[in-house]
Amino acid sequence: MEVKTIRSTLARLFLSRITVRSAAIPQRSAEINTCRRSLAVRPLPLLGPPEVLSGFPKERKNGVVVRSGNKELRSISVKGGTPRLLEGRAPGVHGHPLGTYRLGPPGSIAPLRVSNRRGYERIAALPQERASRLSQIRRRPSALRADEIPLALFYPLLQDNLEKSILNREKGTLLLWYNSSRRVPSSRALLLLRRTGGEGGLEWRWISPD
Amino acid sequence: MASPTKHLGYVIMEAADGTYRGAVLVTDFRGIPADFRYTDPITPSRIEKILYGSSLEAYLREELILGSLAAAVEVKPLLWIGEDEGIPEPLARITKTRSALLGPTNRPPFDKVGVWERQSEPGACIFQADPLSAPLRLSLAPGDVREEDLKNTVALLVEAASTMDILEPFSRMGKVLSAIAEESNGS
Repeated sequence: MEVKTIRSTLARLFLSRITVRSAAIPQRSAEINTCRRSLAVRPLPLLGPPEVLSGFPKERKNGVVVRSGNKELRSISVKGGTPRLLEGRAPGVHGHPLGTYRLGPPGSIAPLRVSNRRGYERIAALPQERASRLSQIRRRPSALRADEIPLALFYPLLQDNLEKSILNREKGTLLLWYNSSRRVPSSRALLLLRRTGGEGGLEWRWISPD
Repeated sequence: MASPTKHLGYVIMEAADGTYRGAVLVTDFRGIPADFRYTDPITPSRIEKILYGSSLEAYLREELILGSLAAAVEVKPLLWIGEDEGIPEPLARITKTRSALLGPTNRPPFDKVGVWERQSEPGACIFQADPLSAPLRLSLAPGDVREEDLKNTVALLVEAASTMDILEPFSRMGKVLSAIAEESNGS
């Protein structure tokens, strides 16, 4: 037995002493995680007034295709004025991706830009939608003749800003695309009526809302 | 010199299946978008749910989503409009801009555009926004409850309603968020 061990054993037995050793403890740094989040907000500033907000598919130059639910609706009319009725097509036909395009000369559609600013593009491409206000009128519009039946009344519409409009026959709403470069403050109401006399048929008529 | 364009700001907040997201749309008085921002969807983790407890919802909606959106938007509207009761108060606090809750009613139209009727709650009224619609219900965020504030806000909304449907932007925002969510899900 070593002298050192004998000394230690005797010290413990007779003097109640034990050896205390020391050792360096390595410094530890705990990794701290946080639950705080930094939220990503898509930067989609407006670069300039959008020219025309529309859903023109490039390959269809004769009309506008708008997706409503699972149906694709097609209009015949494109340029301003009064909208024409849509022909609804069978379910299962999907619409085209919406984009922002500049209107070229009649009959041609040139893309304005294609970018990944998908949020702004999407909302700028969407038309505004108006529900019929016919149930809210208190009296028969004075613009109606005796042989005319009002079917729908849309308000407010900026007639001179209107680039195109489409009637969604399923929902009874009017989809509107404005030309944002024009600033015309006055608005009007658009009445859809059915003529019972003469040749009959449907007619759109601009009227004063008052 | 042309007068500066007036804008309205619309805010929506969605919470479904434990996931939260929000968006703001600023439009001019024709309803044409001037700025649009939306957040990534946020799904709070289990740890966050435990740590934040009952204040989780307020933290997510007010600090995280509204705060982030308000900081990001570049076109400042004259009025922020929400369709959710939890939006106007924190939004007014964060943006220092008048904020209100706006919604439809089933009431018969008032005689004239601009007519308003105070409601029992402070800062709330029903008003006739345009000649061809049912009156709308307006509730200003707490703090903006003076008669003058209500009167000015009604006047602003009546002016906007003469050229746009002042509730319509909410539906457009919903459509865009749905489209973005579908795109993110790869469908």
